[in-house]
Amino acid sequence: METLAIVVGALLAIFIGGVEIILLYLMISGKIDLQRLISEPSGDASMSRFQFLVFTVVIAMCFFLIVVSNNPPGFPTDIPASVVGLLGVSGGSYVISKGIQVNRDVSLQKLAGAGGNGNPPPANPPANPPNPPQG
Amino acid sequence: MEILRQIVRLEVWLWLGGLIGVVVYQMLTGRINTRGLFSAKDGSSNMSPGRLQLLAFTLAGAALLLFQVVQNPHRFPDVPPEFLLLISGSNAGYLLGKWNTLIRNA
Repeated sequence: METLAIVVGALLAIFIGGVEIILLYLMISGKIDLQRLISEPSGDASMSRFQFLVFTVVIAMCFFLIVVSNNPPGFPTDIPASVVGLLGVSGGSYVISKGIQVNRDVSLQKLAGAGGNGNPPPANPPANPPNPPQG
Repeated sequence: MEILRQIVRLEVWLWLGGLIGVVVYQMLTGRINTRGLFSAKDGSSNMSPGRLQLLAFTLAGAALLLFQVVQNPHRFPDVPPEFLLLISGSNAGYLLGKWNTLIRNA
């Protein structure tokens, strides 16, 4: 029975290792495009997406470190509410940020529709539009 | 069985390290778009203090968590409630600034 467990474990380890190498290769070669990993639809980078990425990676690293530090390796017995809260604050901030942006885009589309020109509004209109010519 | 355990451990470290390495490298070389990460979205290209403070608190929080886990890697650390309040305030400040800028420009 132990031999079977070792064989299955070895096969799984080879499979997981292979998938990791393939994914890393595809990311490095650019076939998995990460260019817009933290970008908004307008093309600018988003701070809330960046924050969410940082906290997700750090908490994943902590989780793995705890799993491999236990002997035998095992899941942590408890995950404190404060850690979940940290991830929740980050995720909540990202969702609210998206909400603000969508709300603003919808308002602009409504304004453009009321104007009747049919053109979509610019993603980031200038703060101080040029004055119309006088006279 | 112990060898298998070591191999899996190595694989996961390779994956996490490789992922972080690829993302950081591509951010530094510009392959991952970071344009406008710190600039205000009011049409100017000025630095946004709200974004800078959020970055500082994010990096501080990440470092605090990692440091605590490295010191005691047998359990998840307790994030101090004061720090949770600080990071919530930081996020609220960023979101209010964003809302104010976008609504003013709409």
